[in-house]
Amino acid sequence: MKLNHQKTSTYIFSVLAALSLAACSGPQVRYGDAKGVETISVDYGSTDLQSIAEAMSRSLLQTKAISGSRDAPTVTVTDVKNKTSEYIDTRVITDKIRTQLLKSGQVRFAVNINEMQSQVDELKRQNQSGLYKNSTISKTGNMEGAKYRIEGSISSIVKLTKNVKDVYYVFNLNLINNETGLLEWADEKEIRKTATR
Amino acid sequence: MYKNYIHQLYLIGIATLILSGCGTPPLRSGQTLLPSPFIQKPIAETIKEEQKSIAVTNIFYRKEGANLKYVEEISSKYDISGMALPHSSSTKELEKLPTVSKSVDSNDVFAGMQSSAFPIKFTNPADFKPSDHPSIQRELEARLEKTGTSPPIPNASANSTTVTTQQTKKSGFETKAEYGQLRTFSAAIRGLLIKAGYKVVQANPAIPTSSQGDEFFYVVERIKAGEFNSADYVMFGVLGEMSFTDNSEGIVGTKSTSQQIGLDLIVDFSLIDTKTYQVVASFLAKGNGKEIRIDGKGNGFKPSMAKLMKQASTTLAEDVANHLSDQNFVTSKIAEPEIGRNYKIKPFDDDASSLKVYTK
Repeated sequence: MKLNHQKTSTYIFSVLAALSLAACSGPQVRYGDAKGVETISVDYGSTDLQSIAEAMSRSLLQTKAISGSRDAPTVTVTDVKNKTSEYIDTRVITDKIRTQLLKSGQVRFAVNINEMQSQVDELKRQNQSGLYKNSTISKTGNMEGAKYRIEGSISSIVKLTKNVKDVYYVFNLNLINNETGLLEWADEKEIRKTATR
Repeated sequence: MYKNYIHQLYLIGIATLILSGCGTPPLRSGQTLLPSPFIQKPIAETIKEEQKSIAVTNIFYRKEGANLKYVEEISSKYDISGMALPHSSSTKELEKLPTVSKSVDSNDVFAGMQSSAFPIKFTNPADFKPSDHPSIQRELEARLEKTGTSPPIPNASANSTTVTTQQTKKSGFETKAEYGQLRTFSAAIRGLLIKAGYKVVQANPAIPTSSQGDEFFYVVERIKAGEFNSADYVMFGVLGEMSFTDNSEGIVGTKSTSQQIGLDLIVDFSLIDTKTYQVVASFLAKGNGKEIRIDGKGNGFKPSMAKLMKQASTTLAEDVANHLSDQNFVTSKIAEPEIGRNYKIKPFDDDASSLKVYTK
C-alpha cells in the first residue's frame, strides 16, 4: 500500500517537472515565406501591399510616358493618402513601387519632399562649411527637377454583419506631368477580403 | 506631197516625245519648289576659309539717372503812394531733393568705370510719383510751408504801400545720361570665337565725350572712323538691362530658406560686315550669375560680386555661341550641354545564377 502511494507521488512529481520545464522554454520560431499569402485577418496586410506594388509598377512601366521616352524620365513620389478607417503606412507602398521601378532602369527618381531636409542639410554642409575641396563639392543649384510626380490614394469600404466581415480596398495611382499638369497615366488595384465565423 | 506631210508630222511627234522626256516632271498637288540647302555656302566656313577677322567691342551702355528738382520763383511789385515802381523779381532755386531711384547695387558692377554724379536708374523716370514715396512727399510739403509767405518789407516812410507778389513753384525731373563701356563681359565672347577658329582682333575702346549723346552707339560711324582697325566684322553689343536681385524663399518640406542672389543682364548684339555694313547676325543674349545660400538671410551673408560677374560673363558667352550657331556663324557649338548619365538600363531577363561571359 505504502509502495503504491510512493509510485503515485513520483508520477505526479515527474509530470509537474515536465510541465514546469515546458513553461520555461521560449516560443517556437520559424521562418516563413515573405511572399506567401497571409490570411490571418481581413485587415490590410503584407499580401495586399505586395499585390498593389507589383500591379502598379508593372502597369506604370507600360505607360507611353515611360516606355516611349528615349531617356529615363525623372519622377518623384508624393505620399499616398490613406482614406481608410485603419492605420496603413502608405510610405511602404510608395517605397516598394519606387524600388520596383528603379530596378527596371526605366525611371530615375528625384528626392521627394520627405527626403528634402537631409538633402538640403548635406548641400549646406558641403557648400557652406568651408571644409571641402572646391572641386569635390556637390554644388547648390544643380538638383534635377522631376518631370513627373506619382500620387495616389487608398480607400476602403467595410461591411460587417454578425458572422461576416467584408472589406473592399481600392488603390489609385496617378502619374502627372509636373510642367503641363497633364495626367499621363492612372491605374487602380481592387482587393476584396471576406471573413466568416 | 501627202507623204512629205506625214513624214513631217512623224518627225514633230518624235521631237515632242524627246523633249517631254528631258523636261522636269510636273509638280503633283501639295508639292512646292524649295531652294536647295546646299546652294549657299555657310557664312562660318567662308569666313574661316578666307581668314577674315572679327573685332568684338566692349559692351556699350547708357546709364540714365533722374533727380527730382524743385524751383520756386517769387516776383514782387511795389506801389508806394499811388506811384508804381518798376517791378522787381527774385528767383530762388532750392537745393536738389534726394535723388529718386531704386536701390540697385549695380554701382558695384560699374565700379572702375566713369564715375556718376547721380545714382544709376534703369527704370523709366516717368513712373515716379511723389505720393508713392512718403518721405519725399513730406519733405516737399515741409519746404512749401517753409517758403510759403514771406513778402519783402517796403520802405517804412511811405504813407500807403501796395505790394503785389507773384509766386511760382515748379517741380520735375532733371534727367541725365551717361555713356560708357563695360569691359568685363566681352572676354568670354572673344574666347569662344577664338575656340571656334576665328581670327579675333582688338577693338579700340570708345571714350565718351563730356556732352555725349546717342551717337555713341553709331557703330557705322565708328567703322568709318577706323576704330576697329582692319577687322572684317565687328561684333557690337549694347547693354539692354542689368539687374541685381536678392530674394529669399522657404524650401518646402524643410525648415530652411534659400537666399538667391542674382545678376542678370541682356545685351543686344549685332555682327556687322565692315565693308558692306550688312548685319550678318543679330540677337539678344542673356547672361546670368547666381549665388544660392541656404539659410543665408539673417546671417549677414554677403555675396561675391566677382563670382556673379564671372558666371554672368560665361553664361552670356554661351548664349552668344548658341545664337551665332543658330544664325550659321559659328559651326562648332562651344556651349555643349553636359551629358548626364540618363540612359535606360536594360534589365537582365536571365537568371542571376547563370554564368555570363563577356567579350570585348
